[in-house]
Amino acid sequence: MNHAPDAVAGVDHDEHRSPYLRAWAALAVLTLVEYFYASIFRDVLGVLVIGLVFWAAVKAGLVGWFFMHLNQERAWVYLLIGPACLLAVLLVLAVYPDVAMQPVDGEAPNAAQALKTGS
Amino acid sequence: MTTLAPPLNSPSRSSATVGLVTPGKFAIWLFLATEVMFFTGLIGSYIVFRAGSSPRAYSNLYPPATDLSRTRDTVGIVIEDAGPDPDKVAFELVDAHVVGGAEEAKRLMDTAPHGVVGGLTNDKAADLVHKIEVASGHARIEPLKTQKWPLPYDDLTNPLAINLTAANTFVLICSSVTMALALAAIRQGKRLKSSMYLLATIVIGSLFVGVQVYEYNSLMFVHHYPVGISPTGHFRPDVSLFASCFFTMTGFHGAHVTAGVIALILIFLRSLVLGGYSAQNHAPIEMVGLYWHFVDLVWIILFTIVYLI
Amino acid sequence: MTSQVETSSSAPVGHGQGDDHIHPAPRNMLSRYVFSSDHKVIGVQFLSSGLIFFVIGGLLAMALRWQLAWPWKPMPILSRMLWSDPSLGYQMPPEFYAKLFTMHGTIMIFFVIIPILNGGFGNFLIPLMIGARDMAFPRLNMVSYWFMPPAMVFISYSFLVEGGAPEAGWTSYPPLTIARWATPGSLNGQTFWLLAVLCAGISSLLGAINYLTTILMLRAPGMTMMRMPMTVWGLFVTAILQAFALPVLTSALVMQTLDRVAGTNFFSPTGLAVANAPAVVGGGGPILFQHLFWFYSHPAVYVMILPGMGMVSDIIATFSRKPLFGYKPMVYAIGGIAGLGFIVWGHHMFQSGMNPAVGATFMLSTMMIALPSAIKVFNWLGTMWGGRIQFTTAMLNAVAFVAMFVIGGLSGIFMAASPVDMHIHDTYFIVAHLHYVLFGGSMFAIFAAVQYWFPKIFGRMMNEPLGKLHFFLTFITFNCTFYLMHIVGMHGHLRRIADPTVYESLRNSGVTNMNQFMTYSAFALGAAQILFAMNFFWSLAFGPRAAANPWHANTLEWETTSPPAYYNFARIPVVHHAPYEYSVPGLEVDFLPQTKPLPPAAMLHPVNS
Ligand code: HEM
Ligand SMILES: [Cu+2]
Repeated sequence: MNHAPDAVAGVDHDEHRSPYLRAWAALAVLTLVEYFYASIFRDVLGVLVIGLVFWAAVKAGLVGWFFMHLNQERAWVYLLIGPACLLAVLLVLAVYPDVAMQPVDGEAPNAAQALKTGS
Repeated sequence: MTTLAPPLNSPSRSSATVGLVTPGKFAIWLFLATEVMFFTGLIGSYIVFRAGSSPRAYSNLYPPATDLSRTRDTVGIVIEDAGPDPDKVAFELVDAHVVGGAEEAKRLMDTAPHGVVGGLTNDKAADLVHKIEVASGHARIEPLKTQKWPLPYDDLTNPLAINLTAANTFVLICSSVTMALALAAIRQGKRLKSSMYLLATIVIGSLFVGVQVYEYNSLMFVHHYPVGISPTGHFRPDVSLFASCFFTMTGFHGAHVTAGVIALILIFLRSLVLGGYSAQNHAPIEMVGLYWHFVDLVWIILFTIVYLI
Repeated sequence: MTSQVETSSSAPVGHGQGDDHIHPAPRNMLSRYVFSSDHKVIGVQFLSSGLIFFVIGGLLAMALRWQLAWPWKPMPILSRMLWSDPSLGYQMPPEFYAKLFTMHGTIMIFFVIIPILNGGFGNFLIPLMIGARDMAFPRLNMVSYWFMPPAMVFISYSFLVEGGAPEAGWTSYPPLTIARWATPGSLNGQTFWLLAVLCAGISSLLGAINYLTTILMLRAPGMTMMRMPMTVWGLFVTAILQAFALPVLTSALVMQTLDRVAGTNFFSPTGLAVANAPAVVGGGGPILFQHLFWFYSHPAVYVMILPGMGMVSDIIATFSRKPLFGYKPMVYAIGGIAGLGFIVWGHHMFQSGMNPAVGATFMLSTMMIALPSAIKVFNWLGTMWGGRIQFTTAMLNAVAFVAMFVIGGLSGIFMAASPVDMHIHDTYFIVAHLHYVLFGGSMFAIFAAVQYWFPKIFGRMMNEPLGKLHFFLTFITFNCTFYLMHIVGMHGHLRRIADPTVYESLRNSGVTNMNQFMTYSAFALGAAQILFAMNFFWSLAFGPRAAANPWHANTLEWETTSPPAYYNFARIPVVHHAPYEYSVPGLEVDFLPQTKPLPPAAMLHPVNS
């Protein structure tokens, strides 16, 4: 917000471009980081998920912050995007127990089996 | 025009609308919020499906979702090399009655080094490996391994090409930066430069779509994959829940990119007309740009959770 | 949205399309009345196509009631045409009953109530009530309407495809909907259902984006957010619900469509095989569809009631000649209902075998909705209390809305308790509830709104005596039809069954007599709507010409001619105060339009100052 691009007509344009190019370089590096991180931790699911989600969030943040100019926009943008993100998380969390925590097939029959043989 | 923008004649209006709110910009951000919810429906479903998938839904020796309760003691072989004369190896498989017929045996030879034959006893597997060696091919015995979901880099359950797509991710990121530069250029009144950046964005964006199409084509038609990926050898939306999610998510993303390229072509053409856009008047470039970056952002997430996790 | 409110109320408020720049109306008839981008024409388009579908949906309901009262008895005339095949012997096949309730529900919800309230009145009223010349994006508005005709064609065409219309209910649960051989209707009809609802959804979504932008950006000078009429607030919050919840339904419908046409496995359990069809791979979750569906469709029930609440608030204030009681609480209550509306969807799934912890959470949040709902009801009563009430037809319908919403809301609280719901889920109790809120609520609001804004829309008054006759007949027959459903429902009468007499407990004369009574009442209810149609068309042609402000109301739409000119306002109005300054002490007339400054002698009602 402090640096409305048009206000700096006189500034040399490298200065002007540089945040984009720096964001781009960071994104390129992070893509590489993700790539190697994924191949190193491919067998450790927890570390893999947490790390990759973190890197992806940073990358998404860079795109939003610099390319979509969230660094220059005002609160109203966040009022649109914020609730959407909140609802997105809420929906997944609420659905999670029902869909992702179902009894594993095979477990229940085995339990029944165990009961039968036990009695 | 708007509640928050300064009056039309004020000098600060002369350029960009960044930081200000116009109906168009408000609407595009609102649209992006609805897109967030749409992709939440798709990606959220993927997340809960993946987390809730049965630990024995995928295996290296049987098609996805096979009931493995009676196949626990079986092993398989992986044909790693069909040798100089694949027909001979294929003949051995047909002879041992482990494949449906000559046709299927032939297809298996194409799948090498991941030609999987499952459902064998230990003895039979050893025997078969021996016979294949004699036919100057090469095979190894593979014990049954089950998993919840196809893991990245696991050639027997996951067909996705990570290297190619990582490169493609970088391609899309490049298109995002050219898009941002196009907007920055027009804000300084550099019309030609802006047009060129738009053109670059179109070309790079199309390259991304092209690679996607290439990948779809090889997944669905060209390649033969081992049975743990698909019973038919082709990776198509119906072969597993993983495939369904993959094609739906990347397909809808691809459709969004394609729509973005079309929009970019339209504003590119308009930018060539004298007076098309100027330092004062370039809202369409800003809006298409926002959309384009959003699509890039979605891809960053998709690449991470579909390909890498 | 609060900071938005603050900023816009402090900044100089802008207005519609360019200063007092008036665009001429297009001269071409096609672009003026058919492919029009004028919000008023689009509103009328939504309204009229909605009313046509109201007739279709209503006729389907008559057939439903016939079958319930006299199971398998051939319907006069119709049965001879449809089921003359000797094997059918003029009897309605059971699956046809399923088609009837599926299509009745789908049409009434997606093609009548939502389009009329939001598409029709939303389009017509928003720019007029906030003092704008048109929507923020007139052409997008046109596109939004033109997504409806394909939807209507798809939904109607589904009757004609092989296997006929879908049979899975308006909720469209898998696996019934994805296994193509599960029922005749899931062979092809379901696909058309999906396409229809997808198109209708896109229409609503585009509309919502337009409404929100318009309301936030194009308000007339002085029209702060807290000076907007409740109608606009209702439509505003509705648009928020649409914008944030509808895309999730879209994604669910897309996945279901792909399950049907591309063989994907989203909603099929592992190895699902139906009717000897080859098994699918599966691995997906049918329950997930229910979640995604209700994530939209619970907010959607508020989409169907909030605009009605808004309009009824305005109508009640106008005809009570009193300021709306508690404007701010009313606004916050709408916001509260909408906010809570996002986190209660699970109350439709108590019996789905859901995780009990999740169920308890949903039960609690659902019960909380009673709070803002009660605030609204008490404020309507408070508005009428001590008012000089004018019992016009519009007012009668609006009051009926309040009463019927109380009954429907209370039965909602019953079902919100999951142990109680275990008994009444999927019975006629639910049917009673939803008709009390949707017919008793939304439809009465629509009747009130049509009667109230008809002069503004068409420039002619509707007939009052005929309107009142229609109202009383509708009100009585409506209650006779639906009240008893609570009782048979409590008695275990399941919904969505073609023949209750297959159950021993429903074979007694009590249930049968009630069913027949409800059917007679339903026919009378249907017949009463003919009066409405007569009134509508007769008034359209011969009604007395309407003055600009026939009801002496305060909101901006009454400050322009009836019907408004193409450009709405000759000059963009300037707003000086809230819209509910009725019977201001110290004034000669009992109303004070928003455009008139408050005279120094006048004293404001403390609630509204
Ligand atoms: C006071 C607030 C309300 C509460 C507490 C409430 C609660 C409920 C509950 C718990 C159910 C599910 C019952 C079951 O299937 O077992 C239900 C169903 C339903 N409600 Fe409400 N409700 C309320 C207001 C409304 C409103 C305002 C509308 C519409 C305008 C509405 C429309 C419906 C519909 C259509 C169904 C049936 C859905 C189906 O086909 O299964 N409700 N309500
Ligand atoms: Cu609900």
